[in-house]
Amino acid sequence: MASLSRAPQQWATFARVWYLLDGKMQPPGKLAALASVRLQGLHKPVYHQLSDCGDHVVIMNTRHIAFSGNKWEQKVYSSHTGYPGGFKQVTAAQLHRKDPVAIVKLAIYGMLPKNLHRRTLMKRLHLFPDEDIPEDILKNLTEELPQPRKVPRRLDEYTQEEIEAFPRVWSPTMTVKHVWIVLKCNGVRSLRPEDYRL
Amino acid sequence: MAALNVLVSGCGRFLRGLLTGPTVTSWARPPARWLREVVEIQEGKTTIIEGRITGTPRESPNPPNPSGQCPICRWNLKHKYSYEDVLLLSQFIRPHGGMLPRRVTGLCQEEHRKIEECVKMAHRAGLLPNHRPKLPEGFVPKTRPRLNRYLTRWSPRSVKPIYNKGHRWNKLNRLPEVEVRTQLLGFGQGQSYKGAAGRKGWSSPSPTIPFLSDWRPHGGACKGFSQLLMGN
Repeated sequence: MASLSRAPQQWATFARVWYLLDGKMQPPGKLAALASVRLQGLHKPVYHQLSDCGDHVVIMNTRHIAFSGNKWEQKVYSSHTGYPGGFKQVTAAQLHRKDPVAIVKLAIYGMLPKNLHRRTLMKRLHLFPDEDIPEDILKNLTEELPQPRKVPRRLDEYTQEEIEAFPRVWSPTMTVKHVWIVLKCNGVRSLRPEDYRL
Repeated sequence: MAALNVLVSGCGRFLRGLLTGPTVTSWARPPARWLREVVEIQEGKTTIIEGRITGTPRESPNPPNPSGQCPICRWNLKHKYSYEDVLLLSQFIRPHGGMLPRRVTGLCQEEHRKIEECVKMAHRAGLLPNHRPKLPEGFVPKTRPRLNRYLTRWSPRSVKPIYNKGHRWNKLNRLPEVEVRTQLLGFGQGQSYKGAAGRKGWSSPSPTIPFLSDWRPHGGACKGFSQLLMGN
């Protein structure tokens, strides 16, 4: 590849790049970690806090993010309106229902540096609940980042050959039903054919 | 049968222990039985209910460790599977998603419990979509927007929101996935304040059940067994 002269090389180094991230079945924290690194420009060797070298990040399918554990029910997002009695606490599930973009947005907001750059970096973040992204943003996208979590395959996503190739691990055993020995003078009950069942 | 009658006619309480449910490890595996399907035929006034022998799924030949007592030990899967190994877990479930009894599958008690927990987690993660419970005839369920989740150990309905995560000296237990890594290094996070350790917080494995303290359902820490076998 021919080397560029100084001005085009500088332009190529400092150009702002648009990244795409698919949030389907991904934990929002891991998405946020990737996004915050790209937004600040920490993934570049030419990073400097004052040189404004961050990139744009577009995250789609934020409606389909997946929390591990019981965080949908346990994680609480708190806010205060400023007025007395205005302390609101909402669970992650309720917040997601109200605004499918909010969880990822808050996660990224919390991971960015707590200075005045944060607001400008958030302006460079674009979140979409589903797959439909406006035309002008689609035209800007250059690279899709790999998903942070490897999504496990469902049972119906395995082919029949794979299911048959997997060894069968057990075969049915025979058991004797629990037998009660009746301690009576007129004798005890012995095992009958219906006691032997699968 | 005659020998059994002789035994039974002796003193009962001692024999109750002998005859009732022997443990899997103490006797050799009994001969396997064929599976039957029940067929009901109506011929005029006679109803014939017949159990016809159907194709019974047999264990695959040549397990790596034939001397093992339960299927997991025989196939060397002791700490190798996880909630995402649906190919393994689907062998122990009924068509509507319930677990098969231990005396049928031949699993040992702890492995049965582990598989049961993994099956529950797989159901909650949506990895077994065709093993749903049967709904009554003509019932159309209201499709509410489902939240995606994974590694859900406890039932979502049993869990309350954590409104107060605690001050600096009285924080809650950290999340179980992070606990995994600290437990691997030593035991616990070296909490010196009794208050911190005592607070019940994020859902984590209960330390009172013995097998759970050394088994972690880590979805991502080691590759699932099925995925390894399929060469992923």
